[in-house]
Amino acid sequence: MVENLIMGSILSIDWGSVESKAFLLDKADGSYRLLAKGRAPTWGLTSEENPLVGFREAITRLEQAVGRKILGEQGYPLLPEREMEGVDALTISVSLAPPLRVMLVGLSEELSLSVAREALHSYYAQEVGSFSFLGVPDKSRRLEHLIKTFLSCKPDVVLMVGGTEGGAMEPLIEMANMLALAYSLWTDTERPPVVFAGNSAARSQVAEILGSRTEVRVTDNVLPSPEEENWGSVFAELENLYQQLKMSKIYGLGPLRSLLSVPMIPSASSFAIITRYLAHMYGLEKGVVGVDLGGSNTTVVAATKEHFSITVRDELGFNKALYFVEEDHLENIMRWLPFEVESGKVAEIIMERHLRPGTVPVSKEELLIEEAIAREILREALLLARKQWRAFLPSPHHGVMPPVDLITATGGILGSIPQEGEIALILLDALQPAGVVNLAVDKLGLSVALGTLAPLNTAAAIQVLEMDTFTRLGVVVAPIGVAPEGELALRMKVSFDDGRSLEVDVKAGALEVIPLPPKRKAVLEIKPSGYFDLGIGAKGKGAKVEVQGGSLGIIIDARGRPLRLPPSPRDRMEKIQKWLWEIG
Amino acid sequence: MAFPGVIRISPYTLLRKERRLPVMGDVLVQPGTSVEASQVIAKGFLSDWVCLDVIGELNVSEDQLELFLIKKPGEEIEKGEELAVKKGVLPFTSYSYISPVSGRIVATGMGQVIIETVSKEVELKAGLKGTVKEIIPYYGAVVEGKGAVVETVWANGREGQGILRILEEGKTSHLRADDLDPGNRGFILVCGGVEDEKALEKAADIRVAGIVVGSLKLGLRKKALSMPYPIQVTEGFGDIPMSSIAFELFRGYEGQEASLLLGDSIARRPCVFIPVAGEIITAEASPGVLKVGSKVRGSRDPYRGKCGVVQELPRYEVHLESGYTVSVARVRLEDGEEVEIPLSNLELIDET
Repeated sequence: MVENLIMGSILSIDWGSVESKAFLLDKADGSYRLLAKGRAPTWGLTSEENPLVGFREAITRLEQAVGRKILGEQGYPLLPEREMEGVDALTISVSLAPPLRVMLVGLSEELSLSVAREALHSYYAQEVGSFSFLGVPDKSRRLEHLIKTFLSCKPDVVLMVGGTEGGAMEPLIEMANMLALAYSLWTDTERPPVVFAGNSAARSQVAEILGSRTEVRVTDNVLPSPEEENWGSVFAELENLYQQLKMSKIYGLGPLRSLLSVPMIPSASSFAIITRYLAHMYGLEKGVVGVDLGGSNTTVVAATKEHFSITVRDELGFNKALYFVEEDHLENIMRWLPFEVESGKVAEIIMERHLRPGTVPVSKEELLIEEAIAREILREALLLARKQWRAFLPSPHHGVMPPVDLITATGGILGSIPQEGEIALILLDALQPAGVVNLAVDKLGLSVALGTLAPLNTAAAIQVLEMDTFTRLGVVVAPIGVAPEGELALRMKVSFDDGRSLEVDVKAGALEVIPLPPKRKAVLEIKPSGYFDLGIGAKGKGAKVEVQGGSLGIIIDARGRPLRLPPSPRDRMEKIQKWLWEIG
Repeated sequence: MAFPGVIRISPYTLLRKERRLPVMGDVLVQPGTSVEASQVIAKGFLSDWVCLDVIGELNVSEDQLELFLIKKPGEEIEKGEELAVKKGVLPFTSYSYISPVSGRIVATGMGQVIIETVSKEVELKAGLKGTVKEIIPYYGAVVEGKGAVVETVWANGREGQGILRILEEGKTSHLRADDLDPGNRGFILVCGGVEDEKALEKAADIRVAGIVVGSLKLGLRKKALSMPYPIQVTEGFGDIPMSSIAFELFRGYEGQEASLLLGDSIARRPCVFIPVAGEIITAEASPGVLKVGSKVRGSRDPYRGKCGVVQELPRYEVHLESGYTVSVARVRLEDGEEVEIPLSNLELIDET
């Protein structure tokens, strides 16, 4: 088994665009544990552009924490471990490379290109230009438009889409010929590959036409029928191309590559591996949703035992939230604040985080503004992600998150917020989990690093995942529906594992917490009122579930799904302050 | 332990900048060449492409196109010149296709003739006074200069050169339209901030060479991005004065020529560069080490933009109002006040 190849010490690095994190894993009492960690900003330690400085600094801090030498004279990790120096294995996940620059080429703006745009969000990719065949009727102008866009936007990849299965092929063939002509004018040495994700009947002809000009990769049709979208295969191709075209060009990677015990993988893929493991490991039938709110981008992974999807909202991360300033969406952020603030102050914090990513808020007011920014980033990312899940994780109620078993969260801001109640409230407000859902947070960002380790030593990954990665916040009981405030939302009996029991009536609009410490269990008998569904498809239908405790315990969120904030600013601020107090 | 970022505010150092054309072109300098900031070191042409529907006009089929072309791919053609000709049915009659543009025929296909035209010549300036250290074939060069450098935190995407001029009221003053007269043409104005859009517009009208401010009101950011001259910000957005260490450095070089440069693959931050003659010895840049005596600048409220000197690096951690527990530095600010600032909220000033 591959998983037993490496049995010694392991250095797992998550090399991010904002922060580099180093984790030392080794055996303690027969199982792998996290021994020490070190983190450092990736950039900004010197005036020179060299991400290796942050990489090394993170390891140096780890060395200081553990009192052991890991870096050699050349500034690279020593492998294998000898006399308590160096490590036996090195794994790296990375989100440092810039996104793939993709040009979209499709038949129609409304259908082909809009679906392709959504597919781009499945990975570290950004649209740098687009061409719609039907958008320009005149033949010469059409070709001219394609050539100009292609040669001026200089894409890394061309994603060509169009046609449903069984549809006409002629326009696709003509488009391929036009693209071949445009490629003949490309002067740089490296020609961007074409990913063809259109009507599968046209694959061989498209590949033949374009094959003499550049590399052509074919995937499943992204739009097999007008009602069905299929991103999975495009995602896999984008993942390959990102590794091939972008990750390979990271500064200083050459010497590191020979030290790696497994190939380096992108952080989003690594996070997805761990999220999928969780679904399998714990047999979570309803699935897992993981969110990684990073500095430069936000990743949402949904996984069941059979399926998974990744959404990377590129250029929208905690330190790259300019979108809200540019698009004038600051009001969306301000609605989550329990006090009045000028939009300029919020915009200033967004800009400052952009310019100086590693700072910490000193005042409570600034922290709450940062938390409000986090909520809106997660909401934006979730909107995109849910479109991708709908095939395998449908929601029984429009606009409501599908009931899942577990939500995990990680990323710089979510990991660093001192109050766990506030972390939970961000997740409740932004993701609006429905039904009975466990909440866990990975404060160190270990889950992102562990994904690279899983293929090398599955047992080690699982052991560290179980013991050192997540802080269980608790279990959320969030009935779906809306009722007038003050009406009964649910009646619940809590039978604790020490024999005690408690009966509570929770009113609509309330947010309540019943303490249940970690490693303790309780049985919940929940009976929602006729306004609410517990995520089992029927209003008023009750359920009996066994739950585990967490740092917060049992969180009853009867504020309704979808969550509606009071329209009056004063009422809204009062409510938000009340929720903050209630969740601690 | 948190670690401060590093910002270079140096009276005398080596600055290396990668200068690169956006398109392939001709590099006009050699390694070792001394260059002035405004000297053109490479030239290229931005192309445009025109597709001509020759077969449609001549009413011939796609596969016959080559038979009627007078000019072939690779050849130059002038506007008004015959591109293709087809004999008529009657003797001595013919139909011509006259090129509507000048350029080079780069391809034919799908019944179209594609002509590459020159839309614009682009010139790459050295950007700073110095010496060419290496050539980037077809694209440009790495230029190294000796002088003072102030790294800034934001630029509006433009570069330029001019003579430094400090606004009268100094680091806290806001540039107003009334302050500007034609006498400021060609100068880089240094001040605390900008009052309003009118001031930015007036500066464009009188053609200042650039503006360097301590901070910029966020509402002016979009306007600043649209200005034709370079703007750089030393501290950040909002209303904070320019740090005294940067301001005093500028004041020391008032009246001298300076360059406003953008970040590149060697140094990420934009900067103001003032060439200074003489010989210097500098070590390779290395990670900054924060110690007692280090000069630092606050990078977040309530000490954003304030400079000081580290007095102590306590072993204990401090609990902030926000709930964070952090390592701090005890810093004596310029006004004599001693405060504790989280290490994460400090920038180490690199004066080397």
